[in-house]
Amino acid sequence: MMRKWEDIFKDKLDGYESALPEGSLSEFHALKDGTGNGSSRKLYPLICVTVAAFAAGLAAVLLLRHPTSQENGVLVAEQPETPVYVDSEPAVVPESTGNPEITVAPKAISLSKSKESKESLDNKQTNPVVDPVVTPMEGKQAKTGTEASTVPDKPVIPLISPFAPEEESIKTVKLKVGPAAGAIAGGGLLAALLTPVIVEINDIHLPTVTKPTTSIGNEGNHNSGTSGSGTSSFIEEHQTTQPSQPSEPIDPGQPSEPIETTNPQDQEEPSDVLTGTRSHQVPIKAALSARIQLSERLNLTTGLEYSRYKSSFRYSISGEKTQIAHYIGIPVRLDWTLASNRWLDVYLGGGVEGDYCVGASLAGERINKDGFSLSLLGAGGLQLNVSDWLGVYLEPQFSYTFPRDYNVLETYRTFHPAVFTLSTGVRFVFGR
Amino acid sequence: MYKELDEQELARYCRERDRLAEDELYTRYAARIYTLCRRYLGDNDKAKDLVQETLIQALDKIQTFHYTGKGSLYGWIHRIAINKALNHIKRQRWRTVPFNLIKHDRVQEPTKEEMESIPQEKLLGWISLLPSLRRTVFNLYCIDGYSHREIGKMLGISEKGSASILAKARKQLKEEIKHYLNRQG
Repeated sequence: MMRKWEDIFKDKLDGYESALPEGSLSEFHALKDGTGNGSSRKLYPLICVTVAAFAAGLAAVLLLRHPTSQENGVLVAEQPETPVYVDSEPAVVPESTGNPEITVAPKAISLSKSKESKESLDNKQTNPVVDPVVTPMEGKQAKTGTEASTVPDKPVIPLISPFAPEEESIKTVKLKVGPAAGAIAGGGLLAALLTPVIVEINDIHLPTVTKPTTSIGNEGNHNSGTSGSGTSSFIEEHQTTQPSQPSEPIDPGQPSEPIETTNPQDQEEPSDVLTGTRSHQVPIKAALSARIQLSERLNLTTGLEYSRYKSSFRYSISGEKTQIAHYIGIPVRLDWTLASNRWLDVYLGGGVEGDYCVGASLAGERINKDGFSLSLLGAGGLQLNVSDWLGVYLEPQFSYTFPRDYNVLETYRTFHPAVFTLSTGVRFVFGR
Repeated sequence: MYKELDEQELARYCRERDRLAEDELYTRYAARIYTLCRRYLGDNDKAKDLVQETLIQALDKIQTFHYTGKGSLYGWIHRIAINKALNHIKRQRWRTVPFNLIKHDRVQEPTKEEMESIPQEKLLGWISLLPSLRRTVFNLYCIDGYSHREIGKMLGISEKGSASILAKARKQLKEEIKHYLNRQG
């Protein structure tokens, strides 16, 4: 009977002794005595457990940690812009405990009844805070006044916190707002989402400080502010109050109702406030990623992620200031392997990431840290397996940061809670 | 002295943790187990590691070995090696469908003389070129004598699937052999 070629194949290989690599016997001795690579292999489960326990512990601490009262407060006077609208309609005054989104950082609205020279105003460097209230205008003239003026008892750290609780601000400006802002005042979340969009408008010019007829936030003022333009740096402190729609210009020659101030110092003090111009850079992230194989298809992906958010804010006096915030995050994700071979894994996954601000500064000065935030993650990816324990990955990832109502630094993420990123890096793989 | 030991005695000395007996077991079986690991893994470095793991596990579990006749010690170690190789292959997750490199034209089977002229290292090289699943099925069925049912259970595939994969592996190997023989003239 004729033998098949496979039978010969089998016979030739069945008893064949391949030449062993050099040093294999000594390696065998080392492994047998527990001093070779085998011992490191036995460490894998221990490393897996340690990393997972560390990540879980850190996540628990971050989740359960309540901010201290000191951190909870936002010391800042200067907020970014507030959506304030002044028009001829009767305005709505937000509740004092209401939406922090429509409170404005204290601005030195130190409009004086008397005609005061710019020079005398510029000589003072305190940060008076005034709560202006915009009243309905009569005819062509807007009636504008201030409700209160408070001087902070300590130097103001200009941290940007549009969503800071009102009571945490040193003093906020209460403004009567128009319909658009009133709609925003309906809900914190909605306002949180809408406010950044609205406040993008810049450079509203009040006419002059020398005119007692000045109104706040009236677009008409923009054009009418020709006289006394030398005081613009002072006047522009009001520019966080943005008009929602054009209204009639003010006649500079027509008298208006006097502006009230409760603190005489405020009448003379310019302050360094946001002019409304800000820019947020796309964050820089660096991560240490680990993947623990739970089953043939299912993997737990976790690690540590560092994020650096850089933003620039323009102030009326001091110019541009840079805010840098550092975050440490722990992503925890379950990945399902769609296809894989020896070299490549293709997977889809979802999970959450907890972020905690470890430091923040504005123009080099430390400011209060941001609060804890939680994000939802969805990712797909490719992982090139360099070895059994090391891989290089390329991951398109979608994340959505849940809105918060406390301790929110204004960063890129504030304006873009839903972010699509493409990340790449090196990943340690355990359990293969 | 240890070279003269039969399998039963060698196993007994190994149970007593005789270091020289353990070295003898390594010397006697490592090369053949290395060939087996190369066949299954298609990678010499991984095969070398697997040989070490296999023989260390064999020494650790030598108390469970029961001598049943000549060749039973090697058969026992051989099964350990296959199980470890399969576990390794499963961990590598070969589930992706490999590119179909097989041409559809019929390839003539090599003759006995032609097969005898091919060195073993060439055969091992061609096996290593097979995609992981084909290589595993070919080894299990053609060389180690498992049935398609057993292979199906081991690899979590159907019997028909195993047969189909084997057919593709055979075709690919025949192609390689044919090309080699053509080059040889």
